[in-house]
Amino acid sequence: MADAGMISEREDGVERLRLGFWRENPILVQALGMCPVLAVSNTGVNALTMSLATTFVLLSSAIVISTIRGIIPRQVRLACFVLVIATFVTLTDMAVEAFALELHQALGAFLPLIVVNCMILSRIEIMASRQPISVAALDAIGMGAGFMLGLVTLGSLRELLGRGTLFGAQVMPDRFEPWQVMQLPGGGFFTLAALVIGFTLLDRSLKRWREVPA
Amino acid sequence: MMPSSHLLSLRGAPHLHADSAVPRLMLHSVIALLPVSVFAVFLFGLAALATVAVAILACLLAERVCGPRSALGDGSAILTGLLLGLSLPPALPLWMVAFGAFVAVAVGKHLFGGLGGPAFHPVLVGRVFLQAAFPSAMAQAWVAPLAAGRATELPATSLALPFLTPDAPYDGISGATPLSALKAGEAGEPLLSLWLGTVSGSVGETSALLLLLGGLYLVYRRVIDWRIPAALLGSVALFSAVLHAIDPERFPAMMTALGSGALMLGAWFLATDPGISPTTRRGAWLYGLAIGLLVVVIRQFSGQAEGVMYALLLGSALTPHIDRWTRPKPLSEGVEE
Amino acid sequence: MTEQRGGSGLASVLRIQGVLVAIALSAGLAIALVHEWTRPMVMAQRGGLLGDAALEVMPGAASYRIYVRSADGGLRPMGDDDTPELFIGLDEGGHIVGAAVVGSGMGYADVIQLVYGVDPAAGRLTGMRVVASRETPGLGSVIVDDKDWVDTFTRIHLPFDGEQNLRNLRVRSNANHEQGEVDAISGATVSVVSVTRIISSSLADWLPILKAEFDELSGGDRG
Repeated sequence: MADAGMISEREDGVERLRLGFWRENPILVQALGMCPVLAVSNTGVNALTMSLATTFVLLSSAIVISTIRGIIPRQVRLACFVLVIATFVTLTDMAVEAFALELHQALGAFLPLIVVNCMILSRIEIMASRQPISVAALDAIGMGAGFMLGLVTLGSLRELLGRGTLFGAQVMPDRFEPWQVMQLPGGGFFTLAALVIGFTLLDRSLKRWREVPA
Repeated sequence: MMPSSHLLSLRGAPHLHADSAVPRLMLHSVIALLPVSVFAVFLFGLAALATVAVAILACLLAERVCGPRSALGDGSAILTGLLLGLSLPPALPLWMVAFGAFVAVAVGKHLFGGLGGPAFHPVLVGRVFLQAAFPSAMAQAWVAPLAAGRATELPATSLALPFLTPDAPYDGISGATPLSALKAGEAGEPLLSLWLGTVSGSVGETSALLLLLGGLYLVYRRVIDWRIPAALLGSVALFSAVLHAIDPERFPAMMTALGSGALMLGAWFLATDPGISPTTRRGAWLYGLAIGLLVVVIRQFSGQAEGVMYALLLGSALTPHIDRWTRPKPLSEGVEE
Repeated sequence: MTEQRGGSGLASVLRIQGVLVAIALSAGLAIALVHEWTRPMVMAQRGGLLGDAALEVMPGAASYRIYVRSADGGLRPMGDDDTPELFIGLDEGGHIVGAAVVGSGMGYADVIQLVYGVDPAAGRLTGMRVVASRETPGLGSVIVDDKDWVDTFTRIHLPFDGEQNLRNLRVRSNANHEQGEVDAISGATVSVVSVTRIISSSLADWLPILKAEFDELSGGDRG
């Protein structure tokens, strides 16, 4: 931390976008922000709303912080970051409550708790506070998309096995016996574990597949 | 335990302390469970037979798929299947039985490193998965004991198609277990039938006497550490006697508590698994005591009618701590006697 | 940033404070604006869930007034910061047709919040809806999902003893609804008992108030 300050080399925005989605996926690789991931991934809709809200907060905070990064004093940068993030979280929370009360109740405390999602703070500290707006925004979008990939896959799986539906539409046979555990927090834990295993295996075989012809 | 030595070298603690004799341990355990299995078939008929058979077959299949080929013959998969089958409600759809058995072996055993590796008993992992995934089936798939026609036909719910809810409703009310009847404030079973086992319940948990007999056989054969069941049953007896003395209306008597539910099955056959129980004498006493206390607390002060399964899981979570605490040199070989 | 490294001079302190204050002010402004904008929508919906449930448990009610208990034990209309405690149902003509009480208490997994309708004059319940609960899906959740069971609350009579105290609701298989008994559901014992316990204890609180105030409210309404 000593000297790094706000000065670092300019990153490639498009590369950041790609990395955030896959190789540095916040859920499946970095395992950041696990609390909302496990708590509100019981249905596809909840997962989608949560990841959209998180992405919105991340993107807006990244743009604002990147814009004012020149005037933020180093000594109080974390306070500034949290102020900005908390503002956008509060705005999101109020908007969701006004326009989608049912979703607001389903997400409960986890909507306001986006403010402590460590994925957001880490992106702001690593990227937005040191990079120009375009790079910060692309990084935020990549991370947000990666968060969404993980969360929506998790939510869909849990909804499919735990309720027999997908985004509210019945897809399993009528008499399908729902695996209730998938709707409980425990189901979130081991579905996430299974997803991480699956992701790692997939990534490994993709890499192998890419290397063979080369 | 297994001929291929490279497998052994991969393994972390806790180690089985009698690895050359796994088939012998398994054989004696199966022998000890035979009386109660035969009794279960007499009590619940085809339903019990099918449940146990499907559980064993599914465990063998999962072992074949996930485990090293050489391990198939050591009998541990058969014992896992037998114990799981005995711990399930008799009218449970057979696909759930197979599913649970597969989870027990594939997840509960091999994801944790195979025989000797798991910190939690694979049978309990399988059963707790079923309990969490299909709570309404697990709470209702009981069969009234000694029902007419039990020798020739399966309960309709057993034959539900894979992953589907059975067409027929569960016979949950006439077959309610003694413990759930007690929980609902209804009269319990007479003590004699509770101990003989002519009551409703999971396939092989009803007859406390036969399970006690099997357990004593294992102690005689030195397969299990007698301190664990002694401490466990003693602590259940102690705590239920105290509670019963405080409020006889609300809390069942000691002998009722000892003879009901999965207590005997759990105390003699599950808690004693060397992979999940402490290795020291003092540890064994503590472990049994803690599980017994948990059993009484869960049965009497929670929404659950039966708490043996969760008590055993929590108890085995304590094992590493008990081991560390009761062993002066953490890295010593650690096996007394 | 380099000019700040060595010193903590007055200028740098002022600058830090200035930036913080500026950010905080902008944040406050943004929040205040959005709050003003969304507040009417939020208030219209809040109480909405409870209100919808209240209308369902008061037969004949088309609208309601919301009351809370005041400090002296009486009733007062709900203010901005209150949560609804009592709904008085009004029919199309504005006459009082019933009351619905918000009750809550511990269930199997978490707090159960419910609304039940009561007809204090006739000594019977007029309905029950669970508004918020986290009971085990498939078992305890029958208190929400099992329509037949939920409907029995429209038929349950509450016997009063000589002192006008309510006898507690009881849970039994083969329940006699006339005697204040609620059907047990196999596998959902705790949730069912919780619901009846919540209603019983809430009624014990509310019945004296209802009996005292109901006539006054309805009299005042008609007059």
